[in-house]
Amino acid sequence: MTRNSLAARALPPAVLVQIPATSKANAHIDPGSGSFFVQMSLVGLLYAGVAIKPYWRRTKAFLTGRRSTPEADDESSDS
Amino acid sequence: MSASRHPSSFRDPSGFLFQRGGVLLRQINPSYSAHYDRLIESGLYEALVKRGWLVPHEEMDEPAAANVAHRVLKPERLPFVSYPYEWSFSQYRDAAKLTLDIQELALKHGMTLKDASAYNIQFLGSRPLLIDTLSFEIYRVGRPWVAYRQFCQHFLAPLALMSYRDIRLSQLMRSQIDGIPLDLADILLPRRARLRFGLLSHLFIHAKGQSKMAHSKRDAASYKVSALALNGLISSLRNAVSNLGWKMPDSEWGSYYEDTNYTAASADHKAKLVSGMLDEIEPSSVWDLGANDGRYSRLASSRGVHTVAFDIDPVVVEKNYLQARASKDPNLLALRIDLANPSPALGWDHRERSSLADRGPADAVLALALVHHLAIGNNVPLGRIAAFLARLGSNLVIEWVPKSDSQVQRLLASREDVFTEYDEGGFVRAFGENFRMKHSEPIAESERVLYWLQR
Repeated sequence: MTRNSLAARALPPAVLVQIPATSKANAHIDPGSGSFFVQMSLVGLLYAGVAIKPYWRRTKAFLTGRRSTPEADDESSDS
Repeated sequence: MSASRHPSSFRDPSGFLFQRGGVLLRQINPSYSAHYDRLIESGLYEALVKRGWLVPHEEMDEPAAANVAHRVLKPERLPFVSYPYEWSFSQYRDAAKLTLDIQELALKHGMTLKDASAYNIQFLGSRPLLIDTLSFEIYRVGRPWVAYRQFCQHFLAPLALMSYRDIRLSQLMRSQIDGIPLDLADILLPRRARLRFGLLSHLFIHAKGQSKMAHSKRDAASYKVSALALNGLISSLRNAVSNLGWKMPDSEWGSYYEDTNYTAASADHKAKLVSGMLDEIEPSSVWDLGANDGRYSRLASSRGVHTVAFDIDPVVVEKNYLQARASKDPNLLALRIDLANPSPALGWDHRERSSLADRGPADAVLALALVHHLAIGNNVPLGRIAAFLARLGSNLVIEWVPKSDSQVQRLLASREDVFTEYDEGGFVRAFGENFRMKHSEPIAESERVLYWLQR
C-alpha cells in the first residue's frame, strides 16, 4: 500500500476536496474549467476505488477459494 | 553586446530565454522572484539537479535583456533539441513519467508544476530532463493541479493513441501544438481503452467534462483539492501512463542487418572505414541518417561524440533507444525522422519549433546505405540529396550503393527503372557541386564505396 492510498483510506472524500484555496495561482496556461471539475470529481472516485478494492479482493478470494494476502489488499487501486 | 530573444520563449511572463554573444541565458522577471527564490531555498532545485531531472544553471552577473531582471541564469546547454513527434514510444513514456516524478517531488517541497508541456522535456543522450527552470510555482493549499489538462493532452492522449491505435499517431503532435485535444482522443481511441480506469477517467470522462463545463461561469478558483488528493491524482496518472505499452511489430527495417548482402568481412571493413574517417574528422557532433539500430552511430558515440541517430522506422528507433538507455549511453540520442518529410518549423511565426535543418549543422553526417532509398525509393534527384545533406553537416560520410546492388534491385523489382542518372559518375558530379572530395574507398567484398566529403 502506498502512503497516499493509506492516507486516502483514512480520510473521507469531503476532507480530501474541501480544504480552502488561499489565492489564485500564477500559471500562464489555461487549466480549463472542465479540467478542474474533472480533477475534483476524480478525487472522490479515486477514494472510492481505494476504499472498495480490499473488500472486492476479499470477496473475490472467498468466491475463488484463493487466499487474499495483505500485500494484495495493499496494492493501489487506481488503474 | 546586444541580446536576442529566443523565438520560442514568449508565452510565460515569468521570464524568457535570450542569447548574448552566442551564450544562451534565461532572464527571470521580478514577477516570478518569489517562486524562483522558493525553488532554491526549499532545496527543490538541488534535489532535482542531484537526480539529473532538471537542467543545472549558473546565476550570472549579467545585465537584463529587457526591463529589469530578478536574476539572469546560464543554463547548461544541450547538444540537441528534440520534439515529442520525434520520440519513440518508450522515450515518450519516460518523458511522461519524469514529469510526474518532478511534480511529486515539487509537492514535497511546497511547490507545483505550473505547466506540463512535453516540449519542456529534453533528452541528454538517453536520459530525459526538464529544461524549463521557470515551470515551478509555490503550491497554494487547495489549488488543483493547473497543468492537469496539459499533461493529459501532451502525454497521456498521444501515448494512449500510440499504444491502442497506431504508433504513427505520435505525428498528431506535429499539427496539434498544444497537445492532442481530448475530444479528438475520445473519437480516435477504441472502446476497449475505456476498460482502463486511468484512461476512462483522465481521457474519456475528462473530455466529456470539458465539453459540459465549457460554458460554465463558475470561478476556477472555487475548485479545491487537498495536497493529499493531488498526490493521489499524480499516482493515478502514473499508473495510467505505466500501464500503456507498445508491442513492437515486425518491421521492414527491424531485421535489416540479417537481410543484407554484406558478408561479415565487408561489414567489419565498413565499420573500420567509418571509424577511420571519424578519427580524421574529429567531430564534436554527428548525425547518423538512416541509422537503423544505431550500429554505426555507436562508432561515434563510443568516441565521446554526441550523436543523433535518426531513422524513419519506429521499431528500430525504439530498439535503439532501449539499448542506449540500458547502457546509459550519455552520447546517443535515437529519434524518428522521415528524411523525405523531415520535421518542419512550426508554431507561432514559424519559429516556436525548429525544423531539422535549423537545428544543425552537425560537424559530421553519416549517410550509410541511404542514398538509394532517397534517390530510388523516394524519387529525389541526386543533386537535391547532395544539397540537402550539405545543409545538415560540414562533413559527409556517405556510402555509394550502385544499381547492381541487390538492395537497389529489390527497390526496382516492382517498378520501371527511370533512374538513368543513378550511377557513380552521376553521384560524384552531383555531390561535387556541394562538397570537396576528401577520401573514398571501396568496401571489401561488395560493390559499394564509402566517401568522405567536406563542404
